[in-house]
Amino acid sequence: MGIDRKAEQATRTMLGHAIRHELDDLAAQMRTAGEETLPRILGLCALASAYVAVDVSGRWPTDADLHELAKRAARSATKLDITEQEIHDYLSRIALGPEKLDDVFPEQAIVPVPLYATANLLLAFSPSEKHWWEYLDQIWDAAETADRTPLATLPALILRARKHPVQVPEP
Amino acid sequence: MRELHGYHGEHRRHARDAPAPADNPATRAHDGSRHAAQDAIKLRMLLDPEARKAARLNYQRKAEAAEADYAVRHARPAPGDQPRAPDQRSPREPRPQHAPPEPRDQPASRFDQRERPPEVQREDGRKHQRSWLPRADMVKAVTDVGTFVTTIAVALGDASAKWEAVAATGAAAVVSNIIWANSRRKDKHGDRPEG
Repeated sequence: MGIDRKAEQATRTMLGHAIRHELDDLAAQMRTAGEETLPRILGLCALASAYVAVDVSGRWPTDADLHELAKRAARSATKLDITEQEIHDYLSRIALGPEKLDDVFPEQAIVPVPLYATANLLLAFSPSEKHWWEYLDQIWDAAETADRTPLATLPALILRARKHPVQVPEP
Repeated sequence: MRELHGYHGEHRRHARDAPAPADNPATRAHDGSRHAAQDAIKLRMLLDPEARKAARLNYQRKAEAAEADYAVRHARPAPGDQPRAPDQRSPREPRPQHAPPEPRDQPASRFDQRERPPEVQREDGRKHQRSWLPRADMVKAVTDVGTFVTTIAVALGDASAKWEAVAATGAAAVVSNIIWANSRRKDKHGDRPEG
């Protein structure tokens, strides 16, 4: 299952508006996206958020990792109206957990929380040599590659990561 | 169990109903002199304690000499020996240790490295990303197709060639190529501040 290009384009546009705090444009884009595309956009946000959480933690994130991620993402430069607790709940229960958005958040928060949390995570934790949209490219590429890769390669990937870890450049 | 197979102990006799093995001392060519010599040594060792002590000391001396010879041969390389491979550790080098797993009740140690400073976040957040649709490429393609169609029409005599039209088409082609080349440069280098 590849990335839906139409939903991807809408997701990217919305995240851009959220990151630049262009909330009127974001609302207009939401209305344009419509009922059919919006669930796919939220699915892509969950994928991107989960990827960032695993990438930054360097392991399957523990609760301590998620609290730290949420704390740092909540103080992101976007100044979006989202709390540390909402980001933590979104990551632990939806992006990395089994629950659905409408089981966790009230109706008026179902769309803003995933978008705001993803925007904050992308802006706060993009690798230093990349813009946030280039990091998003990396996430989609990785997701598509993972979809095509048999799970039997996972032990070999873990071995490779342990024996030849990627060096994180000093800030 | 042994009786079931007709085995009757060390005398190497078999019961009458047991089939005779194909290769046994009875059918093999007799090698009496060698067996007799070995049996004599064994008997002597069993019966003579001094002989046992002497044999033990002899073996110990041979073992010590072999160990000393091995140590000398491996202490310094002989002429023509290959130098040690770079990835081969000497016995005194410590083995590389795996990094211990990070404690799970504390956040991973990479957050400080990965979180971008607020000024970097603000700068990156202000920038507009690349246009998903390659607009400059589209402009160039439309202009090129228009130029081609006009050229064909003039060649077939369907349109009259005027210098003004030729100049306008040429200017449009130049502008579209400049836009296209500029967008290619931006795609390659992004919109990072120069310097």
